[in-house]
Amino acid sequence: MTTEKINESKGKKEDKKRKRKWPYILAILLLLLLLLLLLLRSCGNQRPSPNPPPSSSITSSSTPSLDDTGSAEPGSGSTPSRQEILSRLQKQEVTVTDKVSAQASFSSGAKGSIGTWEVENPSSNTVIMQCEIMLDGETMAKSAPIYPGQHIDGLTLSRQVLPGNYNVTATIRYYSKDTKAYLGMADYKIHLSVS
Amino acid sequence: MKNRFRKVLAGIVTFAVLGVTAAVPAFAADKTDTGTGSITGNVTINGSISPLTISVTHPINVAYAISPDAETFTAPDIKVTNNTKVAVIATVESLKAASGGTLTFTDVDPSAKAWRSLSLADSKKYIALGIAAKGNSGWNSGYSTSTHWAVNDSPLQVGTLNPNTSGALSLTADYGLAFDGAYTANHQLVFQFQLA
Repeated sequence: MTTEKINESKGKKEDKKRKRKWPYILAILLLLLLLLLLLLRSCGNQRPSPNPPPSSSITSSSTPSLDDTGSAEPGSGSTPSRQEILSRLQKQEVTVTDKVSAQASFSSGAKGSIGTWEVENPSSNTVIMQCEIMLDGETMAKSAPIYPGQHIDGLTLSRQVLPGNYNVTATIRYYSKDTKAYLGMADYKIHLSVS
Repeated sequence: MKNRFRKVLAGIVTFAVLGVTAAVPAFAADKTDTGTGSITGNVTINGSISPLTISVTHPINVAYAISPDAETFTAPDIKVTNNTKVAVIATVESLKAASGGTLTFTDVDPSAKAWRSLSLADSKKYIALGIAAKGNSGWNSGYSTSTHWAVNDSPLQVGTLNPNTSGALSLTADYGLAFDGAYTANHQLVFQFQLA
């Protein structure tokens, strides 16, 4: 008897639980249905339209018509002649005149010694010069900037040099007078005498 | 009057004598050789020689133009003038692709590429640029007729120029044709000059 009552009450509880779940199940089903509809709709939008709207470049008429305004030049396109190209290139060329003494001499090889070496930047030049004497690949003296119409007649040893006679390379670097930008360089083989 | 004239004359003579006496130390290095019969006098002559000035007129930049449609390479001659009192030797120390243009080429050997079939990317990347002395342009006989290609590092002794003489060099190039715009490119040319 007692067992029957217990079973009866259990069955009632299960019924109640089932009844409580139903609204949730329905809500989930509705939500899934809604998602399915949205998905189908978005897929439908991606399909190419059988009649695309006319683009801005195509006129309303079916065949393009000529816009007959303006006029082009007659004949074939003109290319500059070789002479014209050469003339343009020559205008870009920068030419300099160097005046470099064939010998630099120092009465002492000690660092800081002042020696004689003449370099002139003629006033006809349009560049700034800066000179450097190299011995065994290393700078041993460097000049101040020499503007057009200026010259130097001496240099200071930036390192010790043993007494002797050397064949060295004097490098002149050229810089733009306006922008101070580096333009190029030239080397001179000169004689170096250190007493 | 006569006395005054005598005094003035005596003054002049005195000044002259003093002047000569004062001038004597200036010839202090002089020596008097004395003796009998034949006398030998040694005289030292001191010379002072200044170093010569080397003067050369040359370009410091070189421009060229490539017209792919016409397949032409155009560059003005490079003129070098010796203003020195004696002959000078001109050497092309280096010719190298440099930055600063809208393109910076890589120098290669002329035989390294099939130039007329270079792609767009390779046309804008590779060039074979060379420089050589121009014949009959002022170089002394014996000048180098070989071309110095930018890809080579060894200098090229071009030749000798007499005083007040100009010599010319010309550029040559192998290049691609696939250029999709107007570009500029730079090369740096370094000369070396020395007395001959």
